Amino acid sequence: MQKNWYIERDGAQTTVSRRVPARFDVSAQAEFPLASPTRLAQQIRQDMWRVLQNVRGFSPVVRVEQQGDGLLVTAGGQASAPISGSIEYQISELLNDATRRKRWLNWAKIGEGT
Amino acid sequence: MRFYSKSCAVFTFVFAVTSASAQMLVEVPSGQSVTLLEKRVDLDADIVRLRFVAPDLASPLTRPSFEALGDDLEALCNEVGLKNLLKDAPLPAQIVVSLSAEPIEFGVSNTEVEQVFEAFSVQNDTCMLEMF
Repeated sequence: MQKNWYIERDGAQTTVSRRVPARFDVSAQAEFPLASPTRLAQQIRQDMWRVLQNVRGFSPVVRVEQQGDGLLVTAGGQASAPISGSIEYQISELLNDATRRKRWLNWAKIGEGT
Repeated sequence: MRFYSKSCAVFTFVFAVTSASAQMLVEVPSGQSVTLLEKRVDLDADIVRLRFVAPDLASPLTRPSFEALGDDLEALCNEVGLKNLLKDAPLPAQIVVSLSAEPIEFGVSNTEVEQVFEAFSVQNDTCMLEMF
């Protein structure tokens, strides 16, 4: 078993996952202002754990892609069938939660490492 | 009373006990020092939470990388959790180790305080990072 998290950097794209290859069976997207991609991805991944820890077979993936002067975040991951439709809704709610977004961005301020 | 132990090359921990309170100061692999805030047992969920205060998280100049923080959390689970706090206790299904830059109340969201955590299961007397 991999001891830590996989962090794959490919140009403007950073992907954090527990397994490779990273796979999105379920996902939701949201836009963010510029921030450290790895720190933002790890914070989102942690809060996905809080929300989805009881979903059997779920393995999270967070991808952060720079697009212009902002970031596009795709959060979700691998899941065992049957996949409940509520999972994507829960991830979308998570990504758009104002309190969490503020905390993530505080942590991921540009200039504070990757 | 002061007790010092060295369990491996990169991990040391010190118990500094004062008359007023018991405080566990731990130096973790990244080099930062953390203090045990509380051990919290959730019997219903079969989870033990080990919550530490890590002042270095507050500053970008001293904050370890996420990879280094992962090693710190695993070391805390093994060395403080399994070998000390849970030494003679029934092992839970999961151990969640968290670090926060300042002491914060459990379950209270605070956007101003940096926090990280990982969840571990126990296999062969070792903390294993959960697949999730």
